Amino acid sequence: MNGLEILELSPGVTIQDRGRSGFRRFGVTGGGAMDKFGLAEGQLLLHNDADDAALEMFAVGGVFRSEDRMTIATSGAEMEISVNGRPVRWRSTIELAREDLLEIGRATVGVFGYLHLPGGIDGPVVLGSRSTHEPSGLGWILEPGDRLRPNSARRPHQQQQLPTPKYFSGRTIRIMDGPQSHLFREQDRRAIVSTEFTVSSKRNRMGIGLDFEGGPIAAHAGLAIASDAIVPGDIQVSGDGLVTVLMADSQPMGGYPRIASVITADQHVLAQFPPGTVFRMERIEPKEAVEALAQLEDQLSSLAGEVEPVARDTASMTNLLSYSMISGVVKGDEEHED
Amino acid sequence: MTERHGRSAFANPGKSDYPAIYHAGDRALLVEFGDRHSESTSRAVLAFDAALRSAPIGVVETAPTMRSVLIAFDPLQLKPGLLIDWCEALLSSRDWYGADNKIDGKRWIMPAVYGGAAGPDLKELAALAGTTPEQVVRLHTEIELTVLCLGFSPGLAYLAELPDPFKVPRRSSFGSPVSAGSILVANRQTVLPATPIPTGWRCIGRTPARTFLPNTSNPFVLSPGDKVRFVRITEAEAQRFDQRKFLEEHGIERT
Repeated sequence: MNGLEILELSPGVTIQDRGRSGFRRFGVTGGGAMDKFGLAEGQLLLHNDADDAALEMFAVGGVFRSEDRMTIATSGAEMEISVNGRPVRWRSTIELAREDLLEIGRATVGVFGYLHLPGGIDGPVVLGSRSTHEPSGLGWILEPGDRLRPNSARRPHQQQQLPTPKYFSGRTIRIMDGPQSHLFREQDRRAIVSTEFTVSSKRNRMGIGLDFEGGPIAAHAGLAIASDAIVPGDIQVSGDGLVTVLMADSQPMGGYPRIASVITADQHVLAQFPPGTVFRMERIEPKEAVEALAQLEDQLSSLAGEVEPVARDTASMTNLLSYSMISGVVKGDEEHED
Repeated sequence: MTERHGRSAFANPGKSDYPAIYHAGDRALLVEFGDRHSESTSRAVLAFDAALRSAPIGVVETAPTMRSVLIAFDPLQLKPGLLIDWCEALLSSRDWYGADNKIDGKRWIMPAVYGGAAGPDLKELAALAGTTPEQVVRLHTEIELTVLCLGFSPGLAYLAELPDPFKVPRRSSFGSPVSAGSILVANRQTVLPATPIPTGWRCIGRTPARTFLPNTSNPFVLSPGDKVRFVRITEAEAQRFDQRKFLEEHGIERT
């Protein structure tokens, strides 16, 4: 089946679905989309299955050529986007004609954007998932010249869109205690919820580095422990006091102590914070974390009701035109800067 | 104070902090059996992990580490409190650290080329251990090792427990990447990576056996609890190594 040819690709662009499950005991990381809410938006727009794979773009996208007529969709972080130089709406379906040039530039809201094809992007299924795990070479490592093929034929339907979700403006991340929290001093456990953190430029799919002012947060007794299981969301404090939130692609085990864990319901919120974002953490009980997860599932279930036909809105199109369209794609070497 | 559950002195007399149950994020529990690896901790970990095959519906997967078992579950399907209760009952049902907790893993005979290009750090390790390369190889091949867990990268196995001369720390920094099948040693353990990895562990040999076969129905050759014994072969024998025969000899049909 014809699809999209990749002409240019920014670093950190991968194939992602909901990730791997069941292979953790063999040392395999779960992986999967950094923003599973954003991934789900695009599946809805194209009537794809929840387990279909999409292209995940990290801060900057790429340039693609359409090999056929096709309906595609975008979701997650809002990125500069144009078809044949003409800006189009984000978080909506897009009708492409044969030989259309699709250019996706910088993220303007959030960090991780998604590009969806009908039936999901075809590609090798490794250990039950199409997700790329770059650190261990699992899945498809994309290169310019590769072709993204849809899993199903073009399904023409009305152009659809979704509103910008509210979580992009959230500035509080909820955390819960974990197996090593008690190894930290009370002052460090207090600091984690009283300090203003800033997302640093040291970030990728494995982890998000955090900067902060004030006294150092120390690992202390935790440094003497042996390696233990890591779960996504774990907030690691290394020997030199670096604070990193371990994310989807982190290793399944690690030796640095974790002071707390970002709850599942807030991991996609954190993932979408651009470098420089200032935020706070709030400690909650495990019961509340599960309630937050149930609320997130409810939001996802009701998202279908928010899908609406694309309206012709000249005002916002003018606004879109003011974006500088493809800056960053050609250079492609500054994915962290904002 | 951190919420801790299941500190059962009954299950582990004299070490009242363990076993302990913790929340590990909102979709997993971690059952810790010790603060570091030891033979009895490892026995408890592997026996408890095996017992989790009868875990309630809602448990997604379990994974042992050197000192704990991670139980991943769907909290919207199985209430965390119910799973904690279930784990506490299971923990107090027997002495998990006891020597009668036998793990019935597979037994592997793993061919290995030691020293030379296959094991560039053999001489250095022997010097650090105050012995000869020949003695290192003899000690490494005469003992049956247990697969404690797999982690760090897909299929990478941690094996223990090697005798005292192998009580050598890792290098403080990572060297150039080593290939799959490298036999790495430090801290009385052997690490057997299944994919190329950067490492600070010293490489004393290499097995021609592949332990990660991504496109087969049994992608991972080794499982936690398996026993491994290394057998020295020559580079020429390694060249003639037959992966299919190796798997068949260990009861794994070609897939």
